[in-house]
Amino acid sequence: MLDALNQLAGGFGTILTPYNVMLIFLAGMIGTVVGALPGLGPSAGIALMLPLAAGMDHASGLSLLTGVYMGTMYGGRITSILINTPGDAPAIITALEGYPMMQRGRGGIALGISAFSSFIGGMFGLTVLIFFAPVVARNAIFLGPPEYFLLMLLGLSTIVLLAGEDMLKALLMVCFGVLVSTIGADYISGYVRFAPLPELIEGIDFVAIIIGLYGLGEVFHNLEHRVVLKLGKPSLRVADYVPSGGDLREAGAPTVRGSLMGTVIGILPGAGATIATFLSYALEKRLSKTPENYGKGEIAGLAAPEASNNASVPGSLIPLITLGIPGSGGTAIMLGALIMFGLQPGPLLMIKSGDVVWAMIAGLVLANVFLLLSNILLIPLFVNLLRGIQGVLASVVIALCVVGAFSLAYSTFNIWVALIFGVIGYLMRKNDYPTGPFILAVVLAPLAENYFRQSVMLGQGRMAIFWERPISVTIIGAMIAAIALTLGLRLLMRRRRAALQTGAVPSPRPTPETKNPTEEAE
Amino acid sequence: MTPRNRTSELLFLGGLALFAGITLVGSFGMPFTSGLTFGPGFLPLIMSVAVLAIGALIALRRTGAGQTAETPAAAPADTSPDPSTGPSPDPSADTTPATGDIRTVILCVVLIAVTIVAASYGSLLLALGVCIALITAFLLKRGWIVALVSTAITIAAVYAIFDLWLQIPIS
Repeated sequence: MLDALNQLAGGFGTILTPYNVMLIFLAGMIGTVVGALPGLGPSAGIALMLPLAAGMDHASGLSLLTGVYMGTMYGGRITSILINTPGDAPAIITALEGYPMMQRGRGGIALGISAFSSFIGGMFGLTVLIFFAPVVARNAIFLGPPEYFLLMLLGLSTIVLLAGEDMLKALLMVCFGVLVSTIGADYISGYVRFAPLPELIEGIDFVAIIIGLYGLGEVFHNLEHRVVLKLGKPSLRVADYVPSGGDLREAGAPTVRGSLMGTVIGILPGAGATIATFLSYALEKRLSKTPENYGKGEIAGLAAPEASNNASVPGSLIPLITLGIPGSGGTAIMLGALIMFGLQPGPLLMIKSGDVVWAMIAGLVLANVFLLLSNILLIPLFVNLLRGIQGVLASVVIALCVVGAFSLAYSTFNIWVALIFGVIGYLMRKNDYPTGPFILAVVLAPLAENYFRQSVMLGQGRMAIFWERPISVTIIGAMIAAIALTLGLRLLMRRRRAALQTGAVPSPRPTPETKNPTEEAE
Repeated sequence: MTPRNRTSELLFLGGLALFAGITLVGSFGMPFTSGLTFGPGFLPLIMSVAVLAIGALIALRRTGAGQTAETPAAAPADTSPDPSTGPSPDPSADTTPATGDIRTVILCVVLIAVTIVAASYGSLLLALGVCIALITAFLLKRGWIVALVSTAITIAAVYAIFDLWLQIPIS
């Protein structure tokens, strides 16, 4: 442990020059802006900075890239909370609770809480990276395709939580999501499925789907119901932006749990931040005493996924640094950057180029601190900007969605995809079909399918491979327990509601049960 | 649920059924098994049947006699937040939903579609500018001056960020 601290001190010694400090600050800001733009996530941010980093020394170049990586994770939440348009996939969950908070006039507070949670998550992940990187990475390699498949299944089991009241509708959305995910080339056999156009051979871009489903779908809904945002006039009241002690206390435990979840999931190659945020949201909802308030601006549901989102960044760097395995799209580009700098990713990286790696880690710590400060200070700017344009917000969101979808492949094809999913998202919302299970299926199904088929291949056709190893059995146990617990709680809630309706039990809190006035009107 | 909502739900389910029907027919031509494992046709076949079956079940439930006993439309756990739940901390921060107007949605979708077609033949930025000016003026009813000024600012910002800085060829 002392050795790790010594190495980290050496890293700070390298990185604490005026040039590097300025560079890391700028990297964080650039990452924040790129992450906030719909369609551009960590991969795009790092890729954009690669040519610039190539001309720098190793430590500065890697700090620039990791700073941008961390910055995109902070940035993704901004448009999620303010306009319900996630900047990237891990920010989808942020919109579930952040946007309702914004609608209730607490957008600044939501940004503040998410910034704090992101900071704690990032620091937690970094601590694990600093002290436990080699140990954790050594254990992660014991997970094979059956365990990964079961992990994906565990993720899919969270639909029980994202389902809302009508489980049948949620199931339909899951099956629809799985079907959408099968479009394109099959990774195992190379067979091209349902791709009449060449653009579909690689499948439908997931980001185009979320831009349509959440961004355009929301605009269509607001246009139909003439929803007018009344966010008040631009103001600089500190109370509007800084979370109170009570808010932070409420976010505390979920942030710690989210940090742990994000780090662990981030370490697993292929899992990544998106899955970490879904799982961490599901966990919070499961632990909550008022799960019916989720989707209406619950602080715990905002804080935990944000923490796990940022904790997954250092988490995903662990297998990259120690084993040379990229755990996500962003780290895959980082792997390219390491090779570009002439470094050898793998077990020898920390031995042969330890000084560069520790400087990069020190740079990440610094970037995380800068990002907290800059994000807190920038909240009034973001919120007041939104207040300034609230009358024409629909047009601005459409412009961002169209350009964001175009920027995915520099073609109009993805704008068509976003438009189609915008209409689907609008119809889903109009008819109370939950979008969460659909998105979860689109994200997890391709991975689950591949791991499932690989596992069956490994087991030579025997299904017993899924419950032969202790890790698999543990995951299956966790899955069964999670589903049983959720269904049990759901049943209990339903009975309690029935009792409330008959007047047997005095009403505790009327607000969470209140129906949407639009539904009432209809 | 109003007749209009029922129509939109049946339209949605019909679209899903059409999609699932196409994938079901397509999956018949794909290998169900491949060597020691399942083939590329395995998942699409099962999921297409599942979508058709569950969709039919929901449609029957909607159109059938048991409509009164259907599940209450509680707020789904998705991004459909219910702004009316609970007192808003700031009364001025609430949203004001009114009666739905489906024509604005159709017009907006058509405008975006025309923009995409126009962008295929020329500049995305120009087509987008015209599109959002029309949306602001006609659908958001903000007047021409506000529409033109806000469009000019939005397009300038989009151009600066995406084209000049990120080098994405949108102009």
